[in-house]
Amino acid sequence: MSRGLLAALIALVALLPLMLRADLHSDVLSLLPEDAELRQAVEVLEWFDGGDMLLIEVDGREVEESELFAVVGSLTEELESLPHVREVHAGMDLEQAGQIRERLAPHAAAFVPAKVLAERTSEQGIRAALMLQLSRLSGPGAGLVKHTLSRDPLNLEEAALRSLAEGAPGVRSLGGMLQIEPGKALLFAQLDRSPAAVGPDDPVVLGIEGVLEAQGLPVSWFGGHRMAHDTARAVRTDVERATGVGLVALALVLLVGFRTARPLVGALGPLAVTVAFLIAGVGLVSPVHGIQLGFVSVIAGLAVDYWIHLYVVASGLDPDTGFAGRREAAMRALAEIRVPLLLSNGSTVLVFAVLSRSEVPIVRDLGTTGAVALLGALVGTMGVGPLAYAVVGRARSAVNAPAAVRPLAAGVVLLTAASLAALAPGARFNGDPTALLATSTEAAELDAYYAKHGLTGYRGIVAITGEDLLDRALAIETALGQQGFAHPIGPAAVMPGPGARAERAQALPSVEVLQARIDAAAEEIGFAPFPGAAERIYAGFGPVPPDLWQGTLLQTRLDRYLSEDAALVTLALADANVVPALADAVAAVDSEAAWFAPRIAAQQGITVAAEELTRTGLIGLAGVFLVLFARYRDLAKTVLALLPVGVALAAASGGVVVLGEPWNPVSFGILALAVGLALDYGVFMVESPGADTQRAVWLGAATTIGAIASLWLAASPALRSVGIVLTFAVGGALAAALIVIPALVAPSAGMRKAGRFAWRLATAVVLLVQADVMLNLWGTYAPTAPSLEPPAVESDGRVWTLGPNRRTWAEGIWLVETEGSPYSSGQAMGALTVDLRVRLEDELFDSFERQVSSPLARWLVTRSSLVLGKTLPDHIRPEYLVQIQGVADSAHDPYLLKGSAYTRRVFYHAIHDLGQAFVDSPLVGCTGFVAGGEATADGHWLLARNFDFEGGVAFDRDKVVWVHQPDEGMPFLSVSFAGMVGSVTGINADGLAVAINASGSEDPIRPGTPMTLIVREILQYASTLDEAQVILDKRRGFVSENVYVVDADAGQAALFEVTPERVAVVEVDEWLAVSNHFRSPELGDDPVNVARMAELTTVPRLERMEELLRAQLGSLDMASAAGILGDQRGVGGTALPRAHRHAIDADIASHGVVIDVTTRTLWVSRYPNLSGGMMRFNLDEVLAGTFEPVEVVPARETAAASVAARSGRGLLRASRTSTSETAIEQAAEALERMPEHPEALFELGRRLHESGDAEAARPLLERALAAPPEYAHQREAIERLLETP
Amino acid sequence: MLFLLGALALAEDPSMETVFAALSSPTTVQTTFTQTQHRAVLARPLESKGRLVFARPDRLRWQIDAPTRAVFVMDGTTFTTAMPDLGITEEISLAAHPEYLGLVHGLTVWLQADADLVAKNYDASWDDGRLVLVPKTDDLSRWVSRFVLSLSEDHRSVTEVELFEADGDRVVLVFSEVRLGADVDAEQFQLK
Repeated sequence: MSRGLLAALIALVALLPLMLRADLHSDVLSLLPEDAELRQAVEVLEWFDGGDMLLIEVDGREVEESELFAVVGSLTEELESLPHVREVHAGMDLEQAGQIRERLAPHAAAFVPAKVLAERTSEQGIRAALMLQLSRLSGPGAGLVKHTLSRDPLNLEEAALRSLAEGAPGVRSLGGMLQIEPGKALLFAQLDRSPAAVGPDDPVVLGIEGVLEAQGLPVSWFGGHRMAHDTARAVRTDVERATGVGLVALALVLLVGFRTARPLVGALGPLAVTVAFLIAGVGLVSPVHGIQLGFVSVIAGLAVDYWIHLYVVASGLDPDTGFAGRREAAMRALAEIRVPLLLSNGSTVLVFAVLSRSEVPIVRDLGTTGAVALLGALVGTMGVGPLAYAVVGRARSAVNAPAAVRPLAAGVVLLTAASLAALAPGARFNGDPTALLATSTEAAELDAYYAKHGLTGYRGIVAITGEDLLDRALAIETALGQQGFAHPIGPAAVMPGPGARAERAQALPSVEVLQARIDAAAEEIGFAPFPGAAERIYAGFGPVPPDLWQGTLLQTRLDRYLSEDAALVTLALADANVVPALADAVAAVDSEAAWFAPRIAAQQGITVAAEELTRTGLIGLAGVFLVLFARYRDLAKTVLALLPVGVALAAASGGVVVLGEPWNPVSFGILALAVGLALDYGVFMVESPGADTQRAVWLGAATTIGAIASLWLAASPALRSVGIVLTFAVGGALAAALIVIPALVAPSAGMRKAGRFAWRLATAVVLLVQADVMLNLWGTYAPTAPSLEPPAVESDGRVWTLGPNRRTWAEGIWLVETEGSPYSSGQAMGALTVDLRVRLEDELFDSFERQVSSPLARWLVTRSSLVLGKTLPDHIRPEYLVQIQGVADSAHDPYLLKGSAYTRRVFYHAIHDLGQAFVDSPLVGCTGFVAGGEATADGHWLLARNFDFEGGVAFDRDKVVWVHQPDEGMPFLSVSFAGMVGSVTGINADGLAVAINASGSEDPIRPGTPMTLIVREILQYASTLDEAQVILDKRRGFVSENVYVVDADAGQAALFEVTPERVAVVEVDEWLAVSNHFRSPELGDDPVNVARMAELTTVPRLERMEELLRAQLGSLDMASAAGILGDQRGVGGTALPRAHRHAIDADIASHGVVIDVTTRTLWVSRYPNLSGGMMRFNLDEVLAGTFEPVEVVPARETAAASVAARSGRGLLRASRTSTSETAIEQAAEALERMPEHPEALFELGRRLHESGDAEAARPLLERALAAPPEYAHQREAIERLLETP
Repeated sequence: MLFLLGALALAEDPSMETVFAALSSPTTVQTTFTQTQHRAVLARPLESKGRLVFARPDRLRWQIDAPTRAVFVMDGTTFTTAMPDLGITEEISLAAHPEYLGLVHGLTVWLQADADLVAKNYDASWDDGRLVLVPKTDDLSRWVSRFVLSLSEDHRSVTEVELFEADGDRVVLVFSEVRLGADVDAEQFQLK
């Protein structure tokens, strides 16, 4: 017996006790990180037996209501008869309601919220209550309702019952049934068994399923128990299928590859040892989650890889002299492959050892069991392999020829890998354990159900211990409700504490006043007096017996929220981003209360764990690198051996993006196995790059892919993602090992000169692409919040809605209204404007390509932007980053190759700042004014501006008036673009309006806060000029800017001249015009500013604005302001050609806006530019929901000229980069569209001059000079040409 | 002589079967009414005017137009109430509660005119040409002392109902503009 075989046998015997310990479980908690906070939250839920309830919905829409009720009744009884079902709540029937009302009657007032009490006991409230009583008395069942009238004239008992019923949001009780929509009854079942204990054949779940299926009506059911059960069952099916298909694939590959069953039979020996080790590994950390079984066939595939290597080499060495000869050959083969085998196996075990450090139990278990199983594969191959070969092996001719070299194919492989790697930043990571575990159908059903009824799967819990539980619970409930958290529910509604009763009593007038009010209202309406009514109400605020609800349904509810020494308040959370607000809200009310958000904590914990795993994984790879380098002492060889690992990771990273599959902790962890497989291929190909090795690698990879391919069909998202990741990774590693490594090892073999050149070129391109990919990855911003799936928007073609958010068409301008947390409102804004955003981005890219026509220049601009903008997020408020991420996560990104959606969107918010580098020519230039007091007709404060931005027609045509009600700060309106959370023009609810115009100074441009987001911060958080200045001082931008602000309520306005280093204030006395230069003593003499004034168009525009304002001082109003913005004449009223940039309206404004800040009213221009007329908006009306769009300025008859000017400018841009003949044609056509425009005259004249036709050019140039030219440099160029013969 | 007078009187009172057969013969009833409530909780009698629509077997619209508007609709087992002046709409289902449903039917017995229902719940007699119904079940007698109904000459409709409640309250309903058997729009029994 060989030493290897002996060692294998001893190891098996030694591991036997561990193998016997192996056990499985299906505990969902093991999928969560071992986070202390999370565990505490789970314990709290277990403590209150409130961990999970089953929600059962019976669809009775097709039957009579009585039949539905009968089914609900029988279902309730049958479910309650099942073991472990503690209680089924199907609604409160009239008898129970009557019973509860009788007990409630003496204490009714104590159960009514203070606000309702205050309203109900006001003179108006009392009158309304008595009128209601009178109306009911007039009905056919008056006798039934009148008996409570004398004891409760104000109907407080009903108000109290309503307050008690609010425990189930969205659910109403109708005739003894709970219903969330007509015809569908709801039941809630409470089990005394944790969902964590539910496995694939759980008798409790099977019992419930049996009862539900036996009903005559369609029944749906949701909850943790079903999710756990369905998942466990789906995992088992997946595992069974994967194992079966894997074995068949293994057999087929070996049979086809070797054309004999011998290697297949021989594989059983090493496989058996591997599986034995695997079971021992399971025993070591037992019990492990059943989902781990899904990896068995993949790990076994690695063992088969080793065996195939041995078999292929041994068969080449086999002298074909019987058993002894075959054994000898196998031993020699083993000696030949020992080093690569040990290297490959050792490195893979090292990577798995890294996994075993994970904080996520399931990943940690995979690391341990995988490492032990891989040791088993090594022991199996080295110990049992030779004997197995001796038994089944067959000699063949050795094929030691070098591996085939295909350089072009190698180039294609590397390029493909690079392209896939470039997609990697677009990948999402889903750390939500529910989404990971649930079968896709269950998760989709549940999400759809929640979405349909406005519910949320995210639950927050506040736990209170100590004294005054009821009052503290009420305080938290109230505070959370006031701060907009959905459905806070606690014990206070069912059992008001002393503080609540006292607070409610204070909401009432005195006994005497209340009685007098009741008497007065009764007399007025026609009732007899109600003596003692007020005293009875007050008596209700006395102590409530603690056993008031004993024997009723309400006691069950009380038990859920209150124990002797603790109370619980639960609430619905919109998404993960509201957690900080929850923390603040709870801390502000009760510093001793603890809060939890289990699902969110799990999600965040998993994400953090994945990040840590990445770091430790990189350390593991570094360790592997060192091991290989120690072996080869050659950097090139080491890199070659690792190449399949790189390609595998690139392929997997890009593959998941292509398929839209998010990463999850399991698929992330399984990368370790991919690394192991790729290392195996790489090491073998570097050690022995012959045809035999190629064959072994090919067969090994084929068996692995065969084993994992069936996981693509898995119902469990975790296993499905494992299948996808491994298929891409193994495919990539295989291609790298078989095609790229041979080409790099022997690049010249068999090549002609041309081939060698092509190979070098391909290699250079690949290296460049790789470097670019690395730069892109480095420059990509890490998301600031967990990403959520894009939400679904409802639309009837005119109105798009998403919860409370909506988009409407205001006759030419989109109105988008959003509210809520930064992430949810960002997602809403993005989802509501997907089509607009795509168009905008398309045009932005087009515009960029027009302005920067050279691809190389564009590449340099974008990559240098990545470098310069690397720290941009550091200068942006986190809430805005989260909102931008919400926009980015609102839809699947159609521009994957242009970088991550989130990074692009952050950049877009700095586009105004970036555009300033090109101020006036060609992208940004603006003119505006502020006026108020004596300057305006009615003393109102006006802010008017043209936003001249030539980024693309979509910025004008698809402009958005965005009204946002944030969680924090003030509601505001911004005239904006789809997807932009910053602002360039806006007004807030406190009557502060802001606009910005680009300017310039010699202060160096440096990374700072994008100006649009500074304006947004002012709109959201500033009510006065001083507060605006504080924000400007605090958040310096990275460019220079004129920021004009009006505080209408204070009757003040100011111009802030802002540079990256300074803020100068220009006070406004009644009125001020603003264009694109500074005028304060501090900045007016700035050299850059002086140069801008001399060379650009800012001075003539300002002068024209000032003369128009002076002419209308005292009579300015919105209409005259709109007229000024639309002025197309030059200084002194001189006529200018259409679209001349000296005009205030040069047909380039993306928007023109007049704001009556005093009344919060805006007139906003409609496409094209200022020629499409103006629509009226009013912030207060939009917020109140009463806004109706009104056209206040009709479109101009000459609007077509504005469109023609735009196309004319496009032709001129084309002309400047065209060949001479075409250029002349384009310039001539441009002149037709822009008659007498100096730019068109100059371009045509210049082109004619260049072509040698100076005679034809001269009159054109002279006309251009007279037009006059728009820029100083243009004038100089014309004059030079005229002087040139 | 007294015997003869009594015999004559008896001879004038039609049989209950005949009366209820006539009363229940129209498939629909549409009428206006004036309701006067004499109740202890009211300082003075409350007079209200409205309209009633009934379609056999169990659909009823009870609409009060003055002094305050209110609509009560019973459609099978569902009751809906709307008080437009107060902005209130309420709905209650009695599908699961036959005992309450029975009570409601018992209280509208004069409208349904179901001979079996009457025989089960009331003792019926004549008093001076008017039909008197006295409840014989505890459930009903908790609320109602007796109904006194005046009928049209052909006995096909009720012209007046006087309801004496158990606590002494009294309600008088006087009907006019009665239309029998006319088509009724189904929307009458829906409240939006």
